[in-house]
Amino acid sequence: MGPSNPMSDCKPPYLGFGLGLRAQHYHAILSGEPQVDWFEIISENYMVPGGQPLRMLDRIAERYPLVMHGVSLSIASTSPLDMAYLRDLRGLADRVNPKWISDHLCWTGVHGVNLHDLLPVPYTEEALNHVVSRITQVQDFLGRRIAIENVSSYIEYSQSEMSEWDFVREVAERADCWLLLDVNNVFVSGFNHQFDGCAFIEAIPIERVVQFHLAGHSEADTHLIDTHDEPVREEVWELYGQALKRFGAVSTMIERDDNIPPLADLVAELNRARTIAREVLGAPAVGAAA
Amino acid sequence: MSLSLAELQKRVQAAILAPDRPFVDLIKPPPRDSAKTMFGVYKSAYRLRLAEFLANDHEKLRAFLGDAQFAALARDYIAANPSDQSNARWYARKLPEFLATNDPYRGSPILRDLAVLERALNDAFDAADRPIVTLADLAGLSGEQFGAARLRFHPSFSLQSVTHDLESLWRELETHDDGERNPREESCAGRINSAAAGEAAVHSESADMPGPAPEPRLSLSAPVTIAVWRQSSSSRFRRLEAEEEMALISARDGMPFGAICEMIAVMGDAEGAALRAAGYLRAWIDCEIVTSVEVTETPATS
Repeated sequence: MGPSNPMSDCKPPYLGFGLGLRAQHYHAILSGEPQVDWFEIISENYMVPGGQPLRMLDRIAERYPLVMHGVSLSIASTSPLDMAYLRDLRGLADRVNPKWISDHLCWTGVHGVNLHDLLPVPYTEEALNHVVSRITQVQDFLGRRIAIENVSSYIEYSQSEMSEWDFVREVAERADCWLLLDVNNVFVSGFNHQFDGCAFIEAIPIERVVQFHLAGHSEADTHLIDTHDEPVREEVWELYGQALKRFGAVSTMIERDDNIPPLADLVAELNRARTIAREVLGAPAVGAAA
Repeated sequence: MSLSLAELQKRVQAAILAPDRPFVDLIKPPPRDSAKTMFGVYKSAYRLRLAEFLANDHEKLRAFLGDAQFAALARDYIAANPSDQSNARWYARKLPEFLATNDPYRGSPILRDLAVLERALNDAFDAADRPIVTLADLAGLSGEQFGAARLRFHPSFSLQSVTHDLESLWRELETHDDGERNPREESCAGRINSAAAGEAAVHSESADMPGPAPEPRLSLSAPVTIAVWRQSSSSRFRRLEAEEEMALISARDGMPFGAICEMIAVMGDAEGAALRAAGYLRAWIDCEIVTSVEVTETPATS
């Protein structure tokens, strides 16, 4: 990927309001017409040889736009890129034709170990150069820009030289990639590290953001944890409104990974996102999903 | 001198993996709590997440052991097996061998058998797809062609040797299960739903508990073979009687169907052998495990 491709020429389409595709909802999705504009899949759940997961995915892909969201790219790891994983990822993309592919600005392990977690990076020039180089390699391999998501974090490294939002912005600009702005993650990290979520949002380049994540979090005594097991909290809805004011109509979805309710409950929650977006942006802009 | 990114990641990972190392000295003092507490979020999450992978892949084993003993097993397995998988789907793959070779679990071989069966069912669930043979596909075959036919089987099909009556055990454990097998799925959440429950799971100790008990009630006098396969998107299993076991193993290994019929005639009533063999073949086809019937043309004799 190079600077010869103006972003405006290839920015992914606005999709409207989506949900994470979960196995518990296959039947409800296929037997009804839920008010969901698109679905996000966890890529790894479909990087399997065959069977029901892929069969269901094929059927849902016939009806809805899909985006792929990974958890194992480990873009900031100092271990070599996992080319077998990337080949499988590309194979899945060939199968489902996603509108875009995303993963997290994190590392998940080194030296052959996978911690199955989204570990933060130190915000240093060295890490920045490393991440930019890796994103470039991945984008070259996949033949497309990827979207990178900010993670929730519980620690900050002593050696960080810049803020998280400066780091995210620099990654996006230098790697020429898209951004997936997780509004809940901004809120959780902002609480845990005592920064203003609005300041984070204001620092992110508008033209880079292709997707919003919304999700619920849990409260521990002194910190917040990104659990995705409850409805979106009021404070996150407020921050979502702020994000809409800055970025305009951006494809929005709700992640729910545990304590998963019936699909109708999530659709109702998604309708709240629609309502907020209409209030902030006006109905014509919100309804202009591709 | 600033630590390199590689060294930082190495040290952070080592601190997460080490149960007794509370935190790394590379992090800023958190605003509201201790570095130990905040770094502990990652340490707890690592163990809880892997334990969840194991529990999702081994619902019956968990029901059999109970939550406390299963948590102890998870702790032991996780300590011995840091994940080397990019996908949670395969983290538990070494569990049967772990149960067979490590104390106190190897003293209760039914645990290994149960884990083997659940592993095979999970693997069948998302095994590769292949077109299957139907009875109609065989309609045109002559008796001679049937005799020369070699069967090919679906990737989801496997045979497992066990020494316990797992069908009875499975029925006993059904009340603990919703019946739908759905192996571990990834998510990108922290998935630390309850700090209190999490701590209990991470720090549960087996020392105060009796080890898993052997199950002589379900122990068999000789190993038996269980067939595992996927049918209509669901994983299934069935214990094979001796004659069908021999026939199915032979067919899997590429023996022509005519030769299998001859073996069946030797094992049991010779007069009904052809009928029994046809019955087996029909059952295999009905189970959707036969993917091709290859007939090799025999050279004409002059």
